[in-house]
Amino acid sequence: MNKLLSISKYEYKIQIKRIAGWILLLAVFISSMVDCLPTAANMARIEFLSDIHYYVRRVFSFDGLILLFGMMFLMAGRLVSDRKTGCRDLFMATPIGKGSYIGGKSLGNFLYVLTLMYSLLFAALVGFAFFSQTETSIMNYISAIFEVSIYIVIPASFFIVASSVMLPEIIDIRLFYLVYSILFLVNTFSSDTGTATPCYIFTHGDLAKLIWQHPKSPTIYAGSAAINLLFMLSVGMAAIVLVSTKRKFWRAD
Amino acid sequence: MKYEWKIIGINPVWISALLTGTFLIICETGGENLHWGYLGLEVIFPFYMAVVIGELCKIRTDPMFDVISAQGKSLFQWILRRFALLFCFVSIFAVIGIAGVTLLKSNISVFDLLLTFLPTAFFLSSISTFVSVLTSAPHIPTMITGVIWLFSIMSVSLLRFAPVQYIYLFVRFAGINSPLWIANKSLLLIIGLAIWAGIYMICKKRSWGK
Repeated sequence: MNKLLSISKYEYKIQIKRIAGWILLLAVFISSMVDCLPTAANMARIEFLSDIHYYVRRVFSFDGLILLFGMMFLMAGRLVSDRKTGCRDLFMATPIGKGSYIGGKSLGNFLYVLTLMYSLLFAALVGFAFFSQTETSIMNYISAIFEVSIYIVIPASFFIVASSVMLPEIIDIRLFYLVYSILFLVNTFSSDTGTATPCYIFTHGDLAKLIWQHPKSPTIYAGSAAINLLFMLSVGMAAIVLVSTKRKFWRAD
Repeated sequence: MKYEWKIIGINPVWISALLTGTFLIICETGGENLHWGYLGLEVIFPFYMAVVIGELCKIRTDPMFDVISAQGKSLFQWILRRFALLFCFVSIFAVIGIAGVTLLKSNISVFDLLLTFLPTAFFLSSISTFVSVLTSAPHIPTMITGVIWLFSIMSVSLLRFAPVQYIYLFVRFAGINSPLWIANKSLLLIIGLAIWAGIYMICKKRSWGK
């Protein structure tokens, strides 16, 4: 367990020092402020912005999606680069096990993504607190944070981290980029409708509707939301299992 | 060129063939709600071009970069050749895609789709190359191009501002008609050429950032 935590600590340190991630966060934050802050101009465009649940859902359905997309490139190939630079051979020369290595890499990157996602969330909430004309109770802030964490931030981050760290070890990285970019593209095309959305819509599908529901489409499809959640968790788990069971990935114990 | 082919390897060939084949199957079976020609040739293939160039047109990330930079005859020519090879390579598959779409959907012309594809692909891949010249960190060119690409798709609503219509990447897919889209694509070409002028200046000065 200590070895897993040590690997994750160093992985986190490497990732958090990368300036590209912070520049991306800044760009996404500016975009979210321009689009979502409940200013008079934005309120004239979107009437629901004064509702904190709608606000966080909008920030994460659009700007959070872009942040995740950018981070996918920053995490892709973390295992592949270790192989190419010979770092994995060094790891294998020590008593570190395969589970600790894979777990440490996954956990380090997961914490890295959560750091940036929650930085965006808290910066967005500070912006909301400053610009909102309506009074919002502390409980509403807490429930918005809780809901966006459960329904978007944690499952979507796990899905992207597990996929982008693990899958390039199995398939060509350009194919991975292509497939996942098309998946993100499909997510951007989905619109807020009253019908059940397919499982691959992961930031503004039925799962995200549990945070805020459009008044014109009041039906919530719990089954569809559960399948969305299951899709993200199972694809993430499958990616980890695929690498764990890959032959020649680690030394023969 | 022979050595460049060796570096590229076989994987991009089958990935490109897979993309083209899948695109044509979806185009045939996907119904009429979407304009598949514009979606494929303005949105997906240009981004694929940028991914291929971002990942394979290695400049600062090339392990031999320092040697080539110090002793090569012309660094710019080396970059341009590498870029041109990959651009032509992906364009061949895009042209196959265009031919397939025009056969499947009778209301689209080859020339129209070519004019839609080439400037967008040139613009995105030029950004990818420019970033490859600026940074030695792997995957950053693809990331930057990818974020621009996704942001553009998600910000269709910005087309309500008239100036945005001239620089928006996917005007044809967004349904902007002639002559505005021709001005838009011309502007993308000009910006792409300006980016190449920037690459030339950087190569001439050999001023590499960290």
